[in-house]
Amino acid sequence: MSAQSPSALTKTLREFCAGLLDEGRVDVVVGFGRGTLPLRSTPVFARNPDDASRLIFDATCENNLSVFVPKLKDKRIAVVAKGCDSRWLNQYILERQTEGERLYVIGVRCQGVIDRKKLDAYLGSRRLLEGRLEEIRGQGECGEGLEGEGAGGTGGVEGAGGVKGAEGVEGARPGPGVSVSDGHIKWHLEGNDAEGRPWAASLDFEDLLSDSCKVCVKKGPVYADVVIGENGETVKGNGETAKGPEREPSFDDVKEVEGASIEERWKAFRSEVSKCIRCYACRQACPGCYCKECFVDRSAPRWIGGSDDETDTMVFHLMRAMHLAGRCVDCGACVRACPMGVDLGLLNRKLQKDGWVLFHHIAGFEREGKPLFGTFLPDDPNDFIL
Amino acid sequence: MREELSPRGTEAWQPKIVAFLCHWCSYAGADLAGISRFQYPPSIRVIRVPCSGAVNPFYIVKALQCGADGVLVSGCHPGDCHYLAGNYLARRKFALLKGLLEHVGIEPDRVQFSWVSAAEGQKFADVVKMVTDRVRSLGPAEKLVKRGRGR
Repeated sequence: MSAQSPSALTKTLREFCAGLLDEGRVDVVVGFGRGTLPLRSTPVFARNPDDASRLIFDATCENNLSVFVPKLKDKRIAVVAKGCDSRWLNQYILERQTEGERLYVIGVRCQGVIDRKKLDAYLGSRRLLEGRLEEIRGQGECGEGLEGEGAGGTGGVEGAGGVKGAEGVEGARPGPGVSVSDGHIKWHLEGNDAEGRPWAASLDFEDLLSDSCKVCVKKGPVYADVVIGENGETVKGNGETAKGPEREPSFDDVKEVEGASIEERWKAFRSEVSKCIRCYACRQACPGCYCKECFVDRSAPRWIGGSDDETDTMVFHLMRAMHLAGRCVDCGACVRACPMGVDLGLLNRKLQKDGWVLFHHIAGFEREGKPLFGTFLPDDPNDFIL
Repeated sequence: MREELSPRGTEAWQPKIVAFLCHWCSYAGADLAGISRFQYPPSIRVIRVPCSGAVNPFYIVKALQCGADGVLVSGCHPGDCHYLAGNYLARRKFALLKGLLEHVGIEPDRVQFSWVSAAEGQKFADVVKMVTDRVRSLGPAEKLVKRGRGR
């Protein structure tokens, strides 16, 4: 990949994290670094100020980094947190898996992350050699992109008449270095096809956007010690940056399934699950799966059979979803981690919907109190009971 | 059981229903139904549990996978739990589990929940009748049943 100069957000992130490590305020910063493939990122664990120069943040930062918190033995951990990451950090504290004092939350506003499988589907047999986000200004005029030379996230406000970013975006300009209003951000892709001929393409931001990001209810961090804006400004978090979701959660995909007949649903579930090879990548990617011994690995009792019987896989998916009921924040990490393209979100989102409709519960916004299944109300729904 | 006497798909077919009964209420209620000689279909296989709150949703799914035509979970009435809140906590889990199973296409009537106290022998017999009738109208379970487990 060509050398890319970092966005303003990334620059500030690096400086800030180097400062944190230098002052000894944290032992490790968990963040994202540039991956070895185009449009891929990788988790980075910065333990000294020099490591901080590897940090980045943009729309390729798809992992939920909170997953590392229970695994890290370091005393004080700083985490670069998108909205969904910060919700799981809260959930960890709620579930008493970590202490709040141990965490330093570096909040970043996220406008959604890339779904690698959508990119792969688009590429087909072609090879991708370079990819970046580009901001399109005015009448299709091309501006400096996120990783464009020297401009970074501020590129959009330079240039004659190129001011943009206000339209269609509420509140602070969000995101991975570039503001998003429909059609204004493009993925710029370059590569070779199977015969070695070069190609280039420009795709809408939405085209490669992860599905869970399209229904995201909290793009900014729920709780942050500091928030780094897209123009590189830092805002000290006052603890709580948001009390609840930014918008009412929508469950159109779940409602669509609920409209189908019982046999159609079974058919759909069966065909979805038939893709699963039970590699458990979803479990590894999920911050909620921190059990010391997962039920799928237990041999006494043996909850899940090791056979190729489809019901074993179905039971795995049902129980995986049940284990995350009232806890899943719909970050979509499991869906993106799945190599077979199983839509795990379908079950998770059904439980989220029921949690929301029946109990008005949405995970990840509380640091204190009890999880959904750890508490009750005397007048909880009772009509389904004989 | 004697399959030859109640072959699948015939009038005589008796569904197999796994009943998780709480020790303090529903199990005693079942006992009372027996002592009182209230008649109910011989379709349930009772598993006594300490509390309906101790019923892991996994038990229910696993019962279905192992070939149960239906599952009944019964506990104390709200407010009467021996452990104070077990049935309240169970209720939340069951509400979500029932919705999830229906969402993936498992007939909702196969999994039933009830509150039966130790004094409600008649209600226990009625619940078993009702659940059996509903499961019977659905026919033998085929979905989610592991190969070789269904009968």
